[in-house]
Amino acid sequence: MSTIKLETSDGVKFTVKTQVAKCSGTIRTMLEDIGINPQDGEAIPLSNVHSTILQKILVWAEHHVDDPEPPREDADAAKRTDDICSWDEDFLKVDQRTLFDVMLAANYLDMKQLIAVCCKTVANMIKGKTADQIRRTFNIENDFPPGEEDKIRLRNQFCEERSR
Amino acid sequence: MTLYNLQTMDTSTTDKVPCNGPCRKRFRPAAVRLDQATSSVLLSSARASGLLWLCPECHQAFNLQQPVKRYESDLPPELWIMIFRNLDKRSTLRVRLTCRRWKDIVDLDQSLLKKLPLDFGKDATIDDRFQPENLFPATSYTSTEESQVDFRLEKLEYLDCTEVIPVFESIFPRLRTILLIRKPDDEAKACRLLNSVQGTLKVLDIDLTPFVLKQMASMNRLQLTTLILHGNDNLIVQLSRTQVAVEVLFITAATNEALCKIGRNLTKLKDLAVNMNDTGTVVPTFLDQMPQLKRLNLIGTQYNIVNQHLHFEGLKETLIRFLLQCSRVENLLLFDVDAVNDQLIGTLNRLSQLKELAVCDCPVTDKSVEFIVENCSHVVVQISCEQISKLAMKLLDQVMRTR
Repeated sequence: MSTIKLETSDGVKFTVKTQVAKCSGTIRTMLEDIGINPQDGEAIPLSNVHSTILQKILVWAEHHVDDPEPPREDADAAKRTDDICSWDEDFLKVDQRTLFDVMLAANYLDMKQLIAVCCKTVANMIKGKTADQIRRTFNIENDFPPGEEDKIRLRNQFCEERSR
Repeated sequence: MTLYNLQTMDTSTTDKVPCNGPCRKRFRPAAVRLDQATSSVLLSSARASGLLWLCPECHQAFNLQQPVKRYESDLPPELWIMIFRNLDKRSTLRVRLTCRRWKDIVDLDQSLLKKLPLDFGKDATIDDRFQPENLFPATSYTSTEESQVDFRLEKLEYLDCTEVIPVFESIFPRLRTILLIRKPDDEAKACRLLNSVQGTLKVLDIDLTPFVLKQMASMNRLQLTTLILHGNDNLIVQLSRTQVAVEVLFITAATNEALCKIGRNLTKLKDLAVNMNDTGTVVPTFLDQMPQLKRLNLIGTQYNIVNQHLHFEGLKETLIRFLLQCSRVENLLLFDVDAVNDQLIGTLNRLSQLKELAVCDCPVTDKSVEFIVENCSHVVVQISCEQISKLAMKLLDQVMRTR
């Protein structure tokens, strides 16, 4: 079975099944379009991904390596967030810092399915919360000038009437 | 976008790669120790693959300018947008409230804004506090023309309101449709709004008074195509002299004489809805003056104003003779007209151009339905009248489904 080597930002080298590595659009492009030859034994540098995160991502890729291509989604269509499979749900039961690092790495590695499931997970952390609760969840500072928030709240009312 | 680490690579290439930084210069990868493989990626699809390459100068500048992260954990805007796209309207509004950065992210993304139509619902108050800079930056308006709305308040085209507030002039500069519910003390304000949007306005529903008429006559760029007017027919005739582009006209009351004058002024008139004055035994002749008319809507007693509705009382023959003149009319709508009975429906197969017929609240019975089913095979019919049995309605439904 063909394998390739990946090297993370902290210098750790991973030997990965080529098929699994190809879950990453970035690596796939390097291998297929650019014609990098992994047989040379040179590791592909992933200088934005730390080894702890890559390890986690490789576990996900290994599990989902045989998933069919997802259908193209309309960006404007209303989306469900309650359809995360239980394996992914357990996989993403991590602290927020790790979740965000996984997202950043998945974005860098161009792994659309992983990004999508992370986005749904974060969306579920926002849903049903008040602005204050959201701020606490994501450690966000309320940086609106005094009075501004009330103004926005007032404007939001026009929008909210019918959503009740 | 991610910054590629410069130190871990060696290079032997002589190709030049474009800098993604502000300088935009091409530079030799050798200058920053880049290997063949990575420079190939950069040359072919740096942006698509999410790699960002900076020349040594920009790299240094970029590092210096890297904004200090305010929060411990953060994601780039494109990821937040993807997250927010999973939210419903209510949560999206909450997100706008949390901080300036998230508000900007929502406000700058078209697909997120589409979830946030502005709603001038009956419980909402719009008043002078709502200056343009205070208003929601993005909106659609729930209406039939929703698809044309560009989700920017200043591009709003359809306004349906009970009260005109002076600030509307500056908030909605490009209105195409204004529907105003009568408010006597609003006249001057309403006219100022009309004046400010006269270049774009096409559809207007307004209470026509001498004051409004005078104001509208002075708006040189106002060219309406649809008018819904409440007011006496003399004023409507006067307005028709200046608004000659009107194709659709809905008016509450008019005599045959007034309609003839209107027809002569509005040469493009295609669609007329009228609550006509009683004509006695004289058959109305206004259709002769409206050669383009394809759709006629006769409205009866719904306004309950004695002597102002089309009752043709005891003069059903007059109405029959009138309708038989409507040979060019393709859509005929009869609402609450006392004189529309089975006998009258029995003559409608003589209207050769008729494609659609709607009869509401007229004293017709199952006989009419039977007649329509048997004789008007080319007409799409809608009937909603008390006297008609459920069985007949079912029959009609079945027949119409095949048309």
